[in-house]
Amino acid sequence: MIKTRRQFLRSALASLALLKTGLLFPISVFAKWPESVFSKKHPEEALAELFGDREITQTDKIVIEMPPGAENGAIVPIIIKTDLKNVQSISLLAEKNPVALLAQFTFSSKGRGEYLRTRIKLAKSSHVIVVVEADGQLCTNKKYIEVLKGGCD
Amino acid sequence: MSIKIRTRIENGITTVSAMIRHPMETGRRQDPETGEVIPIHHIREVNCEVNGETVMHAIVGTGISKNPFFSFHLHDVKAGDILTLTWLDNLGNTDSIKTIIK
Repeated sequence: MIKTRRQFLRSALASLALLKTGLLFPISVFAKWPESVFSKKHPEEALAELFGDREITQTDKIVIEMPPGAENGAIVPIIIKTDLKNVQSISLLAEKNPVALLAQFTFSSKGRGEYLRTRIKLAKSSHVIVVVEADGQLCTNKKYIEVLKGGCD
Repeated sequence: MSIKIRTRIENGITTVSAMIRHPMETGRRQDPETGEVIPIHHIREVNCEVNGETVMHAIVGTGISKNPFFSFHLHDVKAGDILTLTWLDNLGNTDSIKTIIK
């Protein structure tokens, strides 16, 4: 119960301070980060964690654009394009990184996810694996990249 | 830590490009001067909303480069819609930017 003007002012100021530091930000859109998936070193383990034993089909309909080689593995540009319809999620994994899963992007119907561009870290020369969930089906493609200096430290 | 965002509508498709200033420390890097390990500090989640409805949500690990850049497509949005992009890191830091799609 707020009884006095002073108490009211105090609590109002406290709320303002909270707003400013972002603590009152609606945290409901968050708190989904799955620690166990991001502790897996091998892509197969991470994929099993993400998708269970669902079948993943190899396809050329996922196009991965990456330079053939990277001098510095700390910043490797990557573009994913796909003709697959109703893309629900795109998962990016690296074959030989300390943590296999780089990121997973989930889209609603407005965000269709047929195009994604980001920059990733790679520890070694290896495949980058992309898994797209589209129309309820899991599809995958991969691309090899030569890395001269590891970028995962 | 700041966010820069750009939107472009072309042939009915909106391209959103966002860059977040963030160190994305893996927890494996040593301070070159002191030799001490720099604690893990990375973005865990990115959320993008249009008019309050989530259109893209990402879970992110340490394998995304320092100062993360993301670009993706949106359909069925129009000029004047309000786009919000928010991130949250492993230390509980969060930041958000609002822009009007044009």
